[in-house]
Amino acid sequence: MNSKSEIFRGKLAKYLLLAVLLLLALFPVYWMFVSSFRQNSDLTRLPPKFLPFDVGASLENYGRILANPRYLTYYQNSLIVAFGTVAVCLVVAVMAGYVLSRYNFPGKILLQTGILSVQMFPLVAILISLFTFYSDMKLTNTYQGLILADTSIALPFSIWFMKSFFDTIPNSLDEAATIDGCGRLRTLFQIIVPLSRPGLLAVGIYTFLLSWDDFIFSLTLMSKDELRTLPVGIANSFAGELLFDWSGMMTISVVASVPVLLLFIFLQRYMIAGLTQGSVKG
Amino acid sequence: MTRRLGLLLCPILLLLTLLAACGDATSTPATSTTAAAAATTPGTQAQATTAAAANPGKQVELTFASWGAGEDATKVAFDQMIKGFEAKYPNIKVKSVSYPFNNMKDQLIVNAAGGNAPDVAQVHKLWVAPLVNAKLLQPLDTLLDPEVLSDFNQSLLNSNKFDNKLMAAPWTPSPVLIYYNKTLLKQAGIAEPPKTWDELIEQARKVAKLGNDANGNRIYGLGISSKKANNGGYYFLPFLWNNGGEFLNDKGQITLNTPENVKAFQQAQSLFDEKVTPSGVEIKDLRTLFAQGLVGFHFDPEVAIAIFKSQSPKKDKFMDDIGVMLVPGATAGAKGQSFFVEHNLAVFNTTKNPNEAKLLVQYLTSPEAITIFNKNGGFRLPARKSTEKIDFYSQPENAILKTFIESLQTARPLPASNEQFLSAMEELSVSIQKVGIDHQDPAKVVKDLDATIKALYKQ
Amino acid sequence: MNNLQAERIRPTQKSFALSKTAKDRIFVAVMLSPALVILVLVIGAPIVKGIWMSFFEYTLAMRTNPQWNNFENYTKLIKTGEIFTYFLNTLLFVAFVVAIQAVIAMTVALLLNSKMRGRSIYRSLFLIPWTIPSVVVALLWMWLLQPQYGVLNYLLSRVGLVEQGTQWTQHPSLAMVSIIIAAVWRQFPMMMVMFLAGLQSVPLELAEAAAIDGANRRQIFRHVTIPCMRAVLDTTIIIAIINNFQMFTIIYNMTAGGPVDKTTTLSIAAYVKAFSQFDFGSGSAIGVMWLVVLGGGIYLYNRFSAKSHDIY
Repeated sequence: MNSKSEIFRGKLAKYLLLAVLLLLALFPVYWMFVSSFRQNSDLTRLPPKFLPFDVGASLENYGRILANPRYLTYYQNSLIVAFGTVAVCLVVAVMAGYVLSRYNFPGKILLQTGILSVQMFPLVAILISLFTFYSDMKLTNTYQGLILADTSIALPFSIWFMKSFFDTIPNSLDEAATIDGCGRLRTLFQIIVPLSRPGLLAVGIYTFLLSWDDFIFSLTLMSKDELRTLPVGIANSFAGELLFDWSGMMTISVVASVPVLLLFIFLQRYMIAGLTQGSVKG
Repeated sequence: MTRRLGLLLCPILLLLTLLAACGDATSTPATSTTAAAAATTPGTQAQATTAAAANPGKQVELTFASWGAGEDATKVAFDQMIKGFEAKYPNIKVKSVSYPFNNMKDQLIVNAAGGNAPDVAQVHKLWVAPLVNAKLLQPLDTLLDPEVLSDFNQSLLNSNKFDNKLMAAPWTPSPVLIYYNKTLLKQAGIAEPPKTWDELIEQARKVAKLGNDANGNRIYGLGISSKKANNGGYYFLPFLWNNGGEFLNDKGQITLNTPENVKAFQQAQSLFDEKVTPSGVEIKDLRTLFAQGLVGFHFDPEVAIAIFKSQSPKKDKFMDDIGVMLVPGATAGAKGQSFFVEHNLAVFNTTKNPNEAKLLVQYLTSPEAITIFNKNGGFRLPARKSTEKIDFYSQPENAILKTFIESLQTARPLPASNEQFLSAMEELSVSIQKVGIDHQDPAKVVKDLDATIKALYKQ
Repeated sequence: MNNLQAERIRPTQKSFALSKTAKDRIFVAVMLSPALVILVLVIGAPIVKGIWMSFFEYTLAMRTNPQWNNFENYTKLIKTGEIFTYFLNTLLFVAFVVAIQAVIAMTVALLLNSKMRGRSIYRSLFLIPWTIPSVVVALLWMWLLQPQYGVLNYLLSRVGLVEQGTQWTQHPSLAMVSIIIAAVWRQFPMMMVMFLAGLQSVPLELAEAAAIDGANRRQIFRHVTIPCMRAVLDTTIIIAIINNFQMFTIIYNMTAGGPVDKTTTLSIAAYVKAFSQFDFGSGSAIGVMWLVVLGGGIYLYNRFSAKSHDIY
């Protein structure tokens, strides 16, 4: 047994393992796409058809789903809430992250760990009393209420991340700006923020994904059909009286996954930065 | 490069939002307020005159909550019925709000607590007691016109009375019968559908012996729902009844712990063990399997026919393969016991327009609306005697329809007057899971179930 | 804009009465206040109210006049033993999801950390499951695991691993397996990326030195790689534990806690008590017990994050 064939075998094993794992990771996504091209009468019978353009494949489901105005409404609501959350979260996180990065004050460490531990609190338990608060304040069934709730979930990590990001920008820039006669806010928004675009992007994407994925807040805080977001709308399509519309569900699933997939394709550098920065540098 | 593309993406997403908003502007979701002139079949004259009397000229908006308006199979029918109503009463606009069936009862209660109750709602039989218990419904015996009240099927009407007050109006009673697949029966060497309950079980076993079809699809004899879903446990009641058991006695006491009921559970267990029935399914799964021609006998009301047609590879032709029979009794002569899956109409007591709500309830149950329902969403059986007189029912066009009309006389309302009935039925499906999937001893399961439900009912 | 203008004139007024530290303090307070207001309003206050609610008979109908009920919300949960089932289910779910995904993520990360062509493409492909919304993940796995005509039963029964028609989400023990599979599938890519970043921060010279000293690959991994990326490992795993303790979407949509409470975790139980039985008191009581148990966790977490702060 010479070392050359050993290396080759090692390589082969490695690529084989990689291929198997990749198949396991991607097959469900592939199956979602394939199923969205088929009719229920076809899907609910063995053997399954494995190729996307086998006999009977069509885009009919997409026509059916997109012609349904409810799904457009859900989509629109999801976008409104997601972008609203991103906007609020960015502003608030930049403000808090900046002072945490640049200023020292009593109780700072306590505050920082306090903000971070917020992530651990049981969401559902919070939700129960939050629901009663919201009902009293007439915040249920409003975009503002849902945006506020989503923001609070994204905020701890966003503040932390912005703080770490600002830490990497030298303090001398702030000092130079102050000498030039810049006020504190102006220094932040005209000097520091423009330099932080990658950080903002990472936090923005993180927040967008969190809000786009939110199910439980939207489920409980929005009880009117015209205000529901896409995840709840999708789950409801499963909750009908008469049948499981698998082809319709897979189609709407594809439609709901596409924005994130697009974001991912174009912005994955920032997404990965956002994911890893925190834990690696944290 | 990727970075620039990324910056481009934001405007694209914004554009998407705008597009979605435009789509929204042209057609408001889940509301159908357009009053198009629908063909008005000659309806009851009495309703038309009361309409004229109620606030002439003043525009009123009613909110009508339903799950039917949100489901593909019934959406068109609901839209058309509402259009028909608005054409008949031009001063009333109906805002149709749809809920997901599985969560509708809970969401109605939450919304009502938040001051967002609808005026009229489509409610499942099992939800009436909880809604009454939450003090959300308006009694109908004083609201509806006397001639309409006396027109209803009285046994259905009585089953919706709480403290002698009518709390929901029967709309589409939907008796559960047995569909059978003629092709599978023939393959299994069965010449004639069963005459007794035990024969039904035997034939189901024979069908299941067919095993797998050429493509590996398993063929089942019959289906028992065992998922803890909204549509769960009560489909098992015929198993109790036709083995001679009961759920409640005449005095309303729970009588589950009897040898007859144990026998029913033993029967079910053997059907699960022998794979005569699939496990862990609910009625929606079973409907699909039956439509694929993979189940011999299937318990379902008339609502399933439209689903069979749309889900079967044979489409409408599938109807030639199947027959419908009344649920067989313990002996050849005995009347089999089945039940109505009632879809009812309720008026919420917060309504500001009880008169208009009344008109909507009366319209939706009228021959006119049921005719629209039948034309657009598969057929529904009527809850009012005057509706039974229309040709569609008095001269049924096929045997399936005929059997269903016959069954209006034999099915019985679900014993759902206790507010805990819904939970009791969930417990029943849990017991079926214990027996069927977890292989527990039927006698013990029945004994525990009896105790659990008695505790729920505070007996 | 007004703020900015106001800021601009300030530096010229050197004689301003407030000291710089005082001004700093005000600035810090103003900048932090939006974040704090949101966190207190949406998280802090509800926690306090939740603790209060858990001692009352507090139902939807009795929202205006809750009644003190002598700890009945707690005693009922403990007497029936259900709270222990919920804790056990939650722990099972969290332990398996985190352990399995850590193994898979580490395997993939190690594979991708070696020299190979198109590494970033592989990484992107592996990340795709993570972009799928959780609700969709739940429905998708329901569909893959459908007993009668689902594709996985079809494939697995072909190789003889399971019987056609095998129950997954409705089976007393496989239901837990189903939700674990779905959760791992959704989450492992994120962990993989973190591990990969951690691996890449391990100095090559160290491993090379160890190899020269005669260490084999397994020894290098155990004694060089793992200690070097300890901080990343710990943070990643703690985050995964926290997130899975909270898991609601996938479980609720796949099994809703069933069959027979076999997958009812704390979050499912609290939700069902509050929003389907409308017993906010009992729901909050579950939340409070959960909070108390997590208190220990938070303490450890804080100590940990303080420690990692010292290192970096």
